[in-house]
Amino acid sequence: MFDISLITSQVLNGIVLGFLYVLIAVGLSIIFGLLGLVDFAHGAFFALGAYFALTLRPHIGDLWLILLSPILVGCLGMIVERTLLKPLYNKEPLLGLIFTFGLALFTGEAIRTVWGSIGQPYDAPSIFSGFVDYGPILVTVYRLAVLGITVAILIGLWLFLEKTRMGNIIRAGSRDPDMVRLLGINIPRVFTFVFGLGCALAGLAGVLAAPLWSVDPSMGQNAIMPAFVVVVIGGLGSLRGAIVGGLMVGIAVALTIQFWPPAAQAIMYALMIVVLLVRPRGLLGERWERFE
Amino acid sequence: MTGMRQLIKHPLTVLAATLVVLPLAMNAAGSTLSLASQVVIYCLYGLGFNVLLGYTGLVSFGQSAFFGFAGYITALVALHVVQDVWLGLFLGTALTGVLGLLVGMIILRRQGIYFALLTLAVSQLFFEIAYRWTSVTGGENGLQGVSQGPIAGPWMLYGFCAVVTWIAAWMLWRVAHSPFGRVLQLIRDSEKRAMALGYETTRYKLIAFTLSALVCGFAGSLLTYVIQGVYANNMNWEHAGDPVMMTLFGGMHYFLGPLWGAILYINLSDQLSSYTEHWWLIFGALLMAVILLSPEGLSGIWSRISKGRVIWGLTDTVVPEPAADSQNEVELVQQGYDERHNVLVLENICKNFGSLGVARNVSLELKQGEIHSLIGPNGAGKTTLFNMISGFILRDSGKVLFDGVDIGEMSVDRRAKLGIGRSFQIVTLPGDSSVFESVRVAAQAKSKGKRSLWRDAYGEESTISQTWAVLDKVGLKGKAASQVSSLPHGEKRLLDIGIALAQSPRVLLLDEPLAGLADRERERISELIVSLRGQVTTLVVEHDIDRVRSFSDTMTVLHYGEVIGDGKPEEVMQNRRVLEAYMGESGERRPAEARSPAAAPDEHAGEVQLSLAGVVSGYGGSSVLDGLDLTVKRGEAVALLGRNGVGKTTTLHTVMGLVRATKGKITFDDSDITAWSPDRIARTGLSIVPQGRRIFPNLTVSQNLEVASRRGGWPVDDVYRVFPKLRELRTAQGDRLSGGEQQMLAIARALMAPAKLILLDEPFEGLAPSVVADVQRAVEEIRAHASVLLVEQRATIALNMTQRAYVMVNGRIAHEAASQSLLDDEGTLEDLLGV
Repeated sequence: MFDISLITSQVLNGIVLGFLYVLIAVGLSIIFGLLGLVDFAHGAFFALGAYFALTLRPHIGDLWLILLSPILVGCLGMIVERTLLKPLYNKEPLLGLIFTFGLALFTGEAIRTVWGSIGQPYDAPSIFSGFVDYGPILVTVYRLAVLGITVAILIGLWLFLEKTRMGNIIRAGSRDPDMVRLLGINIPRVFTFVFGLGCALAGLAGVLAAPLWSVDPSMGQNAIMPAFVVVVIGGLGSLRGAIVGGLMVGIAVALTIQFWPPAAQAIMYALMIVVLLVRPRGLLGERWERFE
Repeated sequence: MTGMRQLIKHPLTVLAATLVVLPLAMNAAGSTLSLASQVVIYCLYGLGFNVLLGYTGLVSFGQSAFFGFAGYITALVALHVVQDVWLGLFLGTALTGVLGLLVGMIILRRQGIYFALLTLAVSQLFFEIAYRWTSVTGGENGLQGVSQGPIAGPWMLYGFCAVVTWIAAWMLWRVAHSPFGRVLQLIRDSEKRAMALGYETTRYKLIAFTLSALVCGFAGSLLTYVIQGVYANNMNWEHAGDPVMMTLFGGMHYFLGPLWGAILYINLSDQLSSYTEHWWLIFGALLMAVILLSPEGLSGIWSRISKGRVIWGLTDTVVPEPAADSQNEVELVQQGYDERHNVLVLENICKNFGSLGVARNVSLELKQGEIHSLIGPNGAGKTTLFNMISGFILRDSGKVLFDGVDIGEMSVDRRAKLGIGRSFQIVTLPGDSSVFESVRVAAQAKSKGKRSLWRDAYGEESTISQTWAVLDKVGLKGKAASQVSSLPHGEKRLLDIGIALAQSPRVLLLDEPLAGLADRERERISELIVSLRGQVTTLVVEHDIDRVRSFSDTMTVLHYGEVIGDGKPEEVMQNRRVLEAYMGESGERRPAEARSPAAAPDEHAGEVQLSLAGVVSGYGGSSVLDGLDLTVKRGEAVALLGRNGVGKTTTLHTVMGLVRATKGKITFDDSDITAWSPDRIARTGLSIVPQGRRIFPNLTVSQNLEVASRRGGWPVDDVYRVFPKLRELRTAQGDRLSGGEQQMLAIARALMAPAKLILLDEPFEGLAPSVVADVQRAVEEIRAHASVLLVEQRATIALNMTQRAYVMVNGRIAHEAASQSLLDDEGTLEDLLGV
């Protein structure tokens, strides 16, 4: 009954899926860490990444899309932060939650309006076509490429946060934004940048996921719920936690899809409920007093 | 207002009238009666949801789970057991109530955002089950074929829905006005205060959650009959927000908010759907607009139009008249003053936060009926002690004995029930409540009927008369009907103490009751405290030494977590150790010749660099600074002295723009910086080394320095030259450094930017003497490159390092002189700073 190659392939698929979830969740986590905002609309930015790529594809090469689409999504995110989110920081945090919920509804429907409700296919870039058949592993080249790209991005992100001045400012700001201001740094501008960065990460995940999931308006909610689960399991505000959580959820979902398909989504929620009860700050989460 | 007008304006009357008019209005607009029934059902759904949001302050995205679950139960009963409307409704509602209780028991352990996310997870889990378990739930297609039985026919159905909804609303209205409902609202405003009054808040929240599930479930069951089936999509993540949206549109702090929200939501989506299928665009945008522009929804807008401002409408706010022959004595446990009996004893309490010893073998005895004050030259430790006595924090070791019983492990509410009461920060007062209600709900804690969901809270005689007695005692009787938020700062403090007194405590803990108050207000509060002698055993933490001296029977002095003096005020004030703690050790006095030289001459020396004129500022309405004037000239080193609580840190925060000055002007280098943002002020050449250092714990030493570096500041190698220790530690994480090392880093950090004036806030706080010398040298290094304003509570050290000094008392400058002359004038120093 336990076909090793089937399991290995599914685990590998789960890892790829997991890293996609990580990419989405990391954006969410960074936004929460600095802005203290849980962004319900994050899934919409994920979908926009895919939709922008879809629209631009006829005009721009595939590899450029992977760069351009996230940048566009990031810029849109920055505009949203500047115009809509700024007034929320001084209000009750739960109002911010409800606000981004409204934003998610709005953007989800906006996507349906502009691009229609029907899913559209999106072929993987031709340079990533084909399979890799190596021992017990059978996987598409594209999936391997996605794995490679997401890992590279995550490493880049880590380097950015640890080694660059802006990265240090962001990390410092997640602990003591007032002190960062007192050092002469324009923290509101940093907030805008970080929100844009988070959205760009979601957009990138969207571009990468487009060939895997087909591009349709509900892809946003298929991204946001797992992202919430990952972020909560791994700890709101913890990057390492997002990675661990993402992999856990990805593998769990991939295996469940194979062996007990109807429960694939449900398993995620059950996992989230259990973790939230046992360790509300997540497996590796730091102490965040903001939302107690 | 006459009885008739009151009746007409009563929410239940309005509801009844609306329910009558609704089908006619909707018919005229072209809608069906079935849709009208749905409006009514969604109104009920919203009412159930609002028990959690409006009344208890819990945001739940999970009520859709109960709405849907009940619908499925009802349909399943109809299709597989028997087609009986009454049985279906009953089982649907009852089983959902049970589900609510179970879910609540699991998820109510978490608060805030985690609670909200948990509810979302629950709703999505149920959605998945409903959507995928096709054999039972019909999956995507749902279930059909539910018979409407005796309530068939559009008018019959509508009438039935309207009647049961009105009855349910009436019951909820009663609950809102019951002792139980009142406590829910207190929990929403300040859960800590509710616990400290003796209420087991988790239990109240659980009952509220179950009640909400019952009502939402009932609505869901009804819907199954109206549409004669059930579908999963009401539980998907978009619809999980339905009750949230409706309630926010209508007004979450209004009893009928959900009614207006439901009418708007159902009708608008129905009308819009004939024009466009993209009506989520409108609703999404509307929800965002409501949050940004009018978080109180339509009802809030109406309130502003009709009454001029937003007044909540969750309950009837009728304050009763005081009975003519009311008992005027607050029911306090008449204890009498008894020196021999210790009501509360702390034995060797120790508490560490990480490596910081906040309490070190603290022992204290509270004698029955006395007024005991807890003072100390620096901030840390006293509030923590209060939290350990009241139960919000647990001690690491040692005993807390109340009447001889060890209460160290007891929960907050248990300790409150034993008789421990306390005051809180003023911001936690329920702003939208009446003064009367805020006291009454505290007085209710002692009454027997406090758990009732049905009785009228205002029907309890003894609670009402206790409330009047308390209001009389604190002098707020005339303001009983006012909104709490309209009270001036001093009266809010009186109210805060009154609320604590209403529970008839045996021990009352008052945390800085005089903070941020003007002289006259301090007088009033002091009188109140004095009147408590012999009635309530009172422990007061304060910094206003003069007043504390006058009303205390005993004083305990805490210094860096240790008790250094304890006894009658006169004894304590002669105590050598206490004097040294306040004034600085005699070893700190250095002979005049050894004083550091003045700053190098500079052609701009003598020009005024920073000036404050008539500055008034404070936090949340208080006026900590009450007309402050001070200047710093270029090249100078100036000290700002004063006891704790006078506003020294507030002064620095106001200069840096963290606190907005409400009056007065601040100028730096000829620019008016009064209303500038903190980062702009910093960029103009003002740097601060803040109290508590505030280095970034998650960054290394070199990263901390890098973040602070700006063009024109020192290169990092120069900084390492002056602070060689920091070079050694450059890869060490911020939170691993010792206090002295952190202070060094904080000072070095100020050099990384081109600072012209550096503000130092108590740089020597908490440092061992050997480290003090290192930090002194560091500060002197700074002095060579910038002007300095040094805030210190340890006068001698500060005077030795500066040319000029100000002494602050209660938000103003009380004395200004050259540092040397103050050093020589022990008398003045002791008057202003000593104990």
